Amino acid sequence: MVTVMAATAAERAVLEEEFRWLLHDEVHAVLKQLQDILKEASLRFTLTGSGTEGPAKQENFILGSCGTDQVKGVLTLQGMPSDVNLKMPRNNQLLHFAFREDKQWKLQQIQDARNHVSQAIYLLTSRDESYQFKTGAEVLKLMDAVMLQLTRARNRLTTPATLTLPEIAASGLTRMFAPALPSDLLVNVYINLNKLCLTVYQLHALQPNSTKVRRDPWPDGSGAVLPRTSRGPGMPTPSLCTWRWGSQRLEVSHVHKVECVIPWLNDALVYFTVSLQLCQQLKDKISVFSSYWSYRPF
Amino acid sequence: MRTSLQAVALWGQKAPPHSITAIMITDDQRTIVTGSQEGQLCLWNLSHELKISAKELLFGHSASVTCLARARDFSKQPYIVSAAENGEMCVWNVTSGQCVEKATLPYRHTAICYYHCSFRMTGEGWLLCCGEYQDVLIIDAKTLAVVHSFRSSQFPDWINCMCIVHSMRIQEDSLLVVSVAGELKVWDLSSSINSIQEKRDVYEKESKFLESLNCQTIRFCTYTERLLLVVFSKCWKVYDYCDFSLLLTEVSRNGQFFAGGEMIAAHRILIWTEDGHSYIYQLLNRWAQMGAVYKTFSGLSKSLYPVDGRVLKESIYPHLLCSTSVQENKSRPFVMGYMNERKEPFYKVLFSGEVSGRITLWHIPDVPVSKFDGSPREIPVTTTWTLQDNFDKHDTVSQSIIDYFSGLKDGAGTAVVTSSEYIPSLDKLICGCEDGTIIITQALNAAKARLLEGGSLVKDSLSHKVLKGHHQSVTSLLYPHGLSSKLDQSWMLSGDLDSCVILWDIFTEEILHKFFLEAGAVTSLLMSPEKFKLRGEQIICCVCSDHSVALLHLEGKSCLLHARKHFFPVRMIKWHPVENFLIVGCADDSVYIWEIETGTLERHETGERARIILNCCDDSQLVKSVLPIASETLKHKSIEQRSSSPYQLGPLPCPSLQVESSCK
Repeated sequence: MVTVMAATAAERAVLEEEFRWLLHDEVHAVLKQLQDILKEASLRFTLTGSGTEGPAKQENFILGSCGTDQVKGVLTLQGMPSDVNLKMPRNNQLLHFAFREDKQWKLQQIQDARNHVSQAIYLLTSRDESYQFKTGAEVLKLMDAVMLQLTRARNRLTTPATLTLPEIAASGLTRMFAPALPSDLLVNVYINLNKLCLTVYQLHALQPNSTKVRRDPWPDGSGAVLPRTSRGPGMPTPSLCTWRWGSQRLEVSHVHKVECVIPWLNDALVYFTVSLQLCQQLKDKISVFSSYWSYRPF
Repeated sequence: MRTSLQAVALWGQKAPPHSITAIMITDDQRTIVTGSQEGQLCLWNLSHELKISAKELLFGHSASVTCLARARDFSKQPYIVSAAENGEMCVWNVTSGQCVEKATLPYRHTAICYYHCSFRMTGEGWLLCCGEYQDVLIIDAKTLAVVHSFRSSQFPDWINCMCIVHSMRIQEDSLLVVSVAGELKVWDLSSSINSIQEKRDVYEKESKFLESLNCQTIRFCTYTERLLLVVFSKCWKVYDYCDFSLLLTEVSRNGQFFAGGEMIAAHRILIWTEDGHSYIYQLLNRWAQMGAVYKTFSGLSKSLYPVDGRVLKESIYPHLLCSTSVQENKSRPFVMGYMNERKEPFYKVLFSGEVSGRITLWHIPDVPVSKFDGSPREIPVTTTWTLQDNFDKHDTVSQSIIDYFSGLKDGAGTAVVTSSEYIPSLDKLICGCEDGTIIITQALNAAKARLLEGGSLVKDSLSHKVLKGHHQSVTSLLYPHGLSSKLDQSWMLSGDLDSCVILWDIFTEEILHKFFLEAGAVTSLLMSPEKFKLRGEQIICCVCSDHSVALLHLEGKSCLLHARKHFFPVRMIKWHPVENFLIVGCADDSVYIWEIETGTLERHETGERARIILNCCDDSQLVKSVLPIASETLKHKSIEQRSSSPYQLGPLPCPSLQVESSCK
């Protein structure tokens, strides 16, 4: 045992030198790289409004699916969607809805993702080149905090909130349209990964004495599920579902879903993945040293 | 009826880690409450002479604590509320240490303010919360259910900081907040109570863009009822509350980041930074300093209240009176706060909590003055304390159970146990040590001798075995027979820091086989479930520190698969018996599916597909980690109400165990 310890004493001096280099130079290089990547990512979520002038990014995204699907939408994103035009044929009529001028509606997913990226950048900028890291544990904690924000930013885009139909009905979006949406239409807009999705639900009221059986729906990817007490591994196809709204029992007769890829969201997701990997690699490098001096408050 | 579960904790020499993320002092200035990254709260006694002593450690959260606030009028009920990163909220009675209410909401709070207007509101009051969601939530202080929210008509965004302004003059309360985008918003509070209770929309009364980002604190000066202090990370500003005109901006020097502040008297401001420094400024009137009468300059000023005789617009400047002394070599960030006692002994206290678990107090003089030459005076630290100080003060059981056997002579230090395993069927305690030895002793006898009979133990009366085979610290142990009775009773596996896994016969003390994995430290040893057998036998799974997973076949003494492609730490292992798949769930919410027979990666999935795959399989094994990381898949708007079960439990000595949440 004693000989083993002596042999590593010389090694330990080398290890300490390496660790010092890691803390003083390598860490800052990685942090700088992370900052650059995340600043690029945050540019994708251009902040408009709140008093800043500057060219507002106006992009029109056309949502429509091929084939006979009838729903077509044009969404305008100014950093955040603020306008949607819907063309919906119904009973062979073409209906047109547009956002009201006086109302503002923001896609919370994008706002949350943007805020998480800002938090991550703030954490990194508060440890700039002039800051000396004293221990490896400090670096690990910083990386954990940054990774937490980036994971949350990514999850906001990859995991749209599962809203129930009553919640969609009650959300602000339904009241945003001029002319007002008919009471048998529900609209939901959300981000799924790098895609902007628009789902339109066509409802019809059931007769009060109808004995239609309620079937257990599987989330059809639209993010709308019925509130259920038990949800087993469900059926692969969406099915009709009923729910109660006020005094009526309504049934979803049709679901239209259209989506469109947003290029800058794709970029942002790639930036998140790369940054997370960089953080994990730095953590791994630091952890290697912890095994060598576990007896010291490393 | 709530049952109270009491448990006995045995403390060793080293205090548990307590990385302080939130700190507050209760209204009676008797208790300091700290919340930590580990999820625990600590209650500290604060004596009249400003001496600190740790009182209790409260276990209630499974994720890092984000904020603390009082939850009632303290003189009536000594309740505080804590919130965690995963949406858990707990209301605690600080006198008894009991958790009186607990809920998990899909909201992450960064600040909470208690509000109660007894003559207009029914119930126990509200908790106004802001955090990583839009606008301000109103949560019932008693039930922790969401009552309503304050909404923004313009630019709804996350809110960074809030304060409740109570105007004595007009007996009206307002809520002032600053959003992450730097917008100041004002809501009527007391006059909106009815609207809130009737669930009508309540929008902001006014808003103003402040042109600075990263707001840390907003404070209303109750002494002048006029000034508004807003602290940003790189500057602090003073506004006139009447029209929100900017009176003063002070930018940070030396790259310091401001973290908060307080108005400690009329025209006196305390500002603190992220690295624990704080400064007291006196706001001086520039024209008064010059001896000029305001009337001469009235044409230049836009004072709205000429009768009060003060020229306000951009004519005040800060004069640094004092700064506090801080010990160097402290790591950021600090969380700090200021407390002004309204009862005897009338202390003004500045307090800070650090990531290292240290609390520091400064007693701020009633009238801070600078030195005679005008330079800032330094306020010394009044007291500083950590949990370890409490531990050092008391006599502890200085030796661990196995010290007699570790081969070290007296005075040479204690053996550090790095992993342990208890086998109830054989009454054996297996301890893996830092120097690579493994000690096997009779568990109950050793515990009895150590704890009950004190030091008068005859060494030879306790039989023990020492297994030598590892050269580095033993990081994990596994007794297969304890998990599956079909396996050989004599087998035991140990993994060390150097990727070496040894299969022992614990009865004959011989090494049956050594596996060299070359993958960093072996962090976990797991066994496949009974229904998963390959070549007739259950398989051993080793998770290593380079995030790789190795599968070992004990009978054949071979390594079947070494899965090395994982970028992120392994969180979960699942087995698919039909297809002979090993399913590895990683920390980045992705899933790797490995085909065991061929050793190839069949699939790598992320996002929703990964989640579905992990949910589909039974028999998952969670890989133990030291710090539980909050699950990021929050179900939006699904509110889980759980009944509270108050208990206090001390930590168990082995650091790799997770403490279960108090709701079961």
